[in-house]
Amino acid sequence: MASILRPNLLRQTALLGGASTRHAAAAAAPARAAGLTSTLLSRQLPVRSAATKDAVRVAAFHASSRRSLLPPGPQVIKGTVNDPVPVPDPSPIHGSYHWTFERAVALGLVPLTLAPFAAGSLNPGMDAIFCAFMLVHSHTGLQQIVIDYVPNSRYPGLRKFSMWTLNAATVLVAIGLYEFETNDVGVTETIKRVWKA
Amino acid sequence: MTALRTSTSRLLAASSRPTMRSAPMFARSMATLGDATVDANPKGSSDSRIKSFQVYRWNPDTPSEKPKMQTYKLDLNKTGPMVLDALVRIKNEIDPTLTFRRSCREGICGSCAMNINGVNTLACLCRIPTETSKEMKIYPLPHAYVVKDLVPDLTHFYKQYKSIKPYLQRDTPAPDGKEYRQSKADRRKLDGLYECILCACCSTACPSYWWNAEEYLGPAILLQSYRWLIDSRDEKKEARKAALDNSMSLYRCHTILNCTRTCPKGLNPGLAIAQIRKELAF
Amino acid sequence: MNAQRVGLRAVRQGEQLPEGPLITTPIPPGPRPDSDSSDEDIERHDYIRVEYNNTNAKSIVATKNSTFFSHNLPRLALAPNAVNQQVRGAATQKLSEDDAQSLLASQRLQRPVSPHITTYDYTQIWLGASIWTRFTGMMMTGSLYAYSLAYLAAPLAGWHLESATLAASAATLPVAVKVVGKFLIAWPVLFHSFNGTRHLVWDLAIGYKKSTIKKGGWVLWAASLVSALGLTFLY
Repeated sequence: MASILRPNLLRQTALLGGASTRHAAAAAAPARAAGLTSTLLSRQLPVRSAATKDAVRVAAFHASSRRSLLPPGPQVIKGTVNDPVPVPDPSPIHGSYHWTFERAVALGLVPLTLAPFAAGSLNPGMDAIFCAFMLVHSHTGLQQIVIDYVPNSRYPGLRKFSMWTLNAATVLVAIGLYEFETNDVGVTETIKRVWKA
Repeated sequence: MTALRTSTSRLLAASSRPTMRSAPMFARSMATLGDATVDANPKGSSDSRIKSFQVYRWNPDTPSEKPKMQTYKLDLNKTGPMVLDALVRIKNEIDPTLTFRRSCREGICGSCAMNINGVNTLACLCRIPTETSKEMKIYPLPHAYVVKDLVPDLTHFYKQYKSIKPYLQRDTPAPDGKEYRQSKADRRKLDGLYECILCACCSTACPSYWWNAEEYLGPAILLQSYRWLIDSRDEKKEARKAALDNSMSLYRCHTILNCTRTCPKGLNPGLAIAQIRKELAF
Repeated sequence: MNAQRVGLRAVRQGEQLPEGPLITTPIPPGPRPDSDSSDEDIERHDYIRVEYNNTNAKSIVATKNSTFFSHNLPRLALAPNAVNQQVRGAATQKLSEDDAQSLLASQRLQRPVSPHITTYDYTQIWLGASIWTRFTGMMMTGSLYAYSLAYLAAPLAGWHLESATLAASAATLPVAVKVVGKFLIAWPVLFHSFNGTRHLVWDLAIGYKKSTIKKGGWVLWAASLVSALGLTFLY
């Protein structure tokens, strides 16, 4: 069927001469199989057509999917050209509120980061606040990374898994930081001591 | 008359050295099939400036063949100043199978958007660098599905454009029953937005759009969205805002600002997105 | 539909040609696309028939003198390499809307994705402030998470990760390692803080001029590296 749609595939398989039946079947399969055909072709056929030679003369472009980040997969368009893409339901919790919250935390971190440089280190109360802000900032930052690189539309399962792993890790880190803050000298003081060591 | 005379003298001066006009008409109009790497210029002309153009090729008729780079050489003395001139000359004189979109040749249609020397721009607005030692690399718009050679598929991009309802929405009729009037100050807010020609240079320059084109609208569409959001005549402001208020449509923008740096029309999609986020936040 | 009729007319002219220049595929029996039948009646055949014949262009000039080609004659006569002229006769077949859509969908599946991070301007992709903010953030978050989790597990595993132990072990390191280590800690913190502040300013919709963005990027790299060196050696 595909060979009817793509006479060129037939032309390629015709190059194989006698040993063509197996490859004709492969050519009838979709693109991936056709790629296989061409590799078989280059391996088994010592004399190739002028067209193939020309193709070899120009440098092959290395755009193999092995190296590509987040390979997008074959193109599938839902609906016709004239249908708009669906508009998601509004959810400010994940949209504007979330964004404002993130910026507020980041803004709060500015004085909290500058203060130890002025004062040497923070007192335990401020140090705890600093830790909490750091943790929230880290958590939301990692969330953004997961949302960016594990798209829900393509990997819903992996997305859910990463998010819950992240949540669990953050809870454990919060407990660890609490232990550290209550038993040790505090983050800023520790950094200072290690730095001066 | 003086103006005419000066331009005539300029033309005469130009004709003393070889220009693109000197290419024979018949050779240009009748396409011939060429070799993979063809020098369209007779060697030996002493002051020729040969520059190589590497162009991305992929043919849908042979889908199993990988995309490849093909080199063409042109004498810059016989080629117009812009990259589109070079492409047109390649198509006319060297390789008629080279495929690209073009229409207005003056940066108003947005057809010839492509990645030239690593940056997205319109081929018709991009000058060919005059130093001939460096090769020029021409790719289709990045991370787009390729229809053929330099032609990307923009279906999804247009579908996204349609989803933001790019038209005036209002229920109240005009006070004078004729037209919706706008103060000069309100009209001025649209400057820098209405000029967008939807060439997709900015969207395809955005890494966020590369990874999440499915749901993230991308800089071009968001700039258009802002254009309708701040139009004083539009009455569906809240609905427009609500449509963007989710984690994907707008907030995948991480202010990378490749969009602003690449816009061939000198617009500022990054700023438009920042304005939208400000409107939604405060 | 009009364009299609023109195309078919061209082909029918082609059929009248003497053998040689055009290879026409016989159109299967059934209703002709330009007959009076409605679109639904038309059966689907091959989606397109295009035949090329590059070699016999001269024979067109020699044998054929129809009105269809006559306007090409002067050009053909003058063109130096008439042997390579491409002659193309195309017969088209009407497709139903559904078939056209499924054909398009199958073609879409074959399309490659154009190159992106490998070819885009590396100063924007690999030296971009944004991605390095993410990288440095990941480094710091990674160490924060790793240290906190390790601290939580320390009593169970018998590790000693208290601040006193850390400071004592840091003191035993050779100077070169200390300097490199300090720089590798200071630079991400400073880069992330500087560009984080820059992003906060951007969020107020300030500083979006193209030149400001470009210069700011280089200033950011210089400032973070210089101040990291300063922190390493002066503190």
